[in-house]
Amino acid sequence: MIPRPSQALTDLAVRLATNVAPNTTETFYAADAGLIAQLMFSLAQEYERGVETRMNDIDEMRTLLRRAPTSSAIDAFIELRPASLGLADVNTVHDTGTRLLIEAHAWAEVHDEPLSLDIWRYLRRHCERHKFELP
Amino acid sequence: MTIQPETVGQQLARYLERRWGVPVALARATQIPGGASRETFRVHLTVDGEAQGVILRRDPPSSLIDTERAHEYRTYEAVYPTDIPVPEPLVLEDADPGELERPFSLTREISGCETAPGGLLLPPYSDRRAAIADNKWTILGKLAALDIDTLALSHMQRPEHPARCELDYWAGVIRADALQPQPVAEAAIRWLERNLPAPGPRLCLVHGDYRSGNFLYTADGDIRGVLDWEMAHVGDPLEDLAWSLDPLWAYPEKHLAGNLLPRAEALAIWERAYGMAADRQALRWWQIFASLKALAIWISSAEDYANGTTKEPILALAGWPLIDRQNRILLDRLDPHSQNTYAEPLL
Repeated sequence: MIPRPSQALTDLAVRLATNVAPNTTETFYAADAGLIAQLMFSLAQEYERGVETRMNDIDEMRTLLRRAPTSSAIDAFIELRPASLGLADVNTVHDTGTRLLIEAHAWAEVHDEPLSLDIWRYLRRHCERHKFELP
Repeated sequence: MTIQPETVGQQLARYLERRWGVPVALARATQIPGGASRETFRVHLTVDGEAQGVILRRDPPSSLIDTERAHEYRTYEAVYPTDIPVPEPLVLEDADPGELERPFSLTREISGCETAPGGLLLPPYSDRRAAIADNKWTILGKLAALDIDTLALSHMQRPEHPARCELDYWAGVIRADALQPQPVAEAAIRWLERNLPAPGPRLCLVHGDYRSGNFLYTADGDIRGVLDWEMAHVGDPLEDLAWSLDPLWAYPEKHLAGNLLPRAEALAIWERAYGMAADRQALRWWQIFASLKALAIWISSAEDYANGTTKEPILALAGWPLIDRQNRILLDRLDPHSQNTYAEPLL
């Protein structure tokens, strides 16, 4: 077991950016190393929070979709739970909810302004939750 | 797979010797970083006893933007005779790349310049940002003012409704390439559909990616070349202007277009060079469109990184953090309760 994988990824990225890249003689490969380090920072953040942020999204989308016109797809999503807490299973449920939310948002823009505004607020929280902080 | 620039340079020298019928020897070759759509090399050669610098752009197995091979080169040929500065086009090889194995194009090197957007924030260039900005938006205004009937643009279609055409294309890219549902992009597409402007008074040559990073600037504030015409097309003059003003290119100084100067001043320079005022309502539409188009490119990059044959890190960088940032920019532009955290209000 790796006890703190996201920290390990961050440390490796720092090593790549500060130790390997500056000592690479070809500019092209130094730039490549810098890019890879940035991507490792992103992966470290995603590793740490990936399941939690998606589960928060799913909970919020359920609440919003209860206010949309009823449908069997929405009813099924409200009852749906990920088969596991593995990222692939959580993504499946998240994607299902997001597709329904897009439809609900398009409907609400025309028929239900308060719901539309609340979906915008959700999208704002969603984007902030998933925001990458790069050095 | 590791590419050896010296090997590519030697292959090019042999190819040119055969094509041009004069002795060609390699002096030095380096690979230029950052090219997501082509492998790019700076090659210094001795051609029939004379030193020459050239830029070789070769197709990789996978590309950030799906474009026809010859499109960019033909656009260089069309623009080179005008006063828009572009590298001189030398060779387009589509059918028989011979020693170089994959299709490529060759242009003359414009030496003594910088391209990196980050360089604009550092001395000596940071002291010359006003001059660079003046040149940047003057060139763009002049490009928009060119009469397309005088340019060799037979490789481009002339859309009846540029906004409709561009929106359909890039919305299609998002829906075809997205690895996950895109609620912000879909909201933007609906907004753009509801607010579609009528076709403008004239068509122009649109560069398609006019931003910091795609022009060669000098320490005295000059711009010697506009690069990367892969997405060039005939369209609305406001498209390039809006793209050049997108908040994505204004980081970390969000109030400075392209990290150069306030957007209103950039607009004034463009209008002076173009010779006409920009329709503000249409410009607002094109600003939202610019952010959506950028998001489409990042989404396409993420798909390419995940499913394509080339695992270039630049594709993942475009695909992961830039999708995130462009989503926040679009939210700032469209959310009725926007606090304009990441993007200033539309002009």
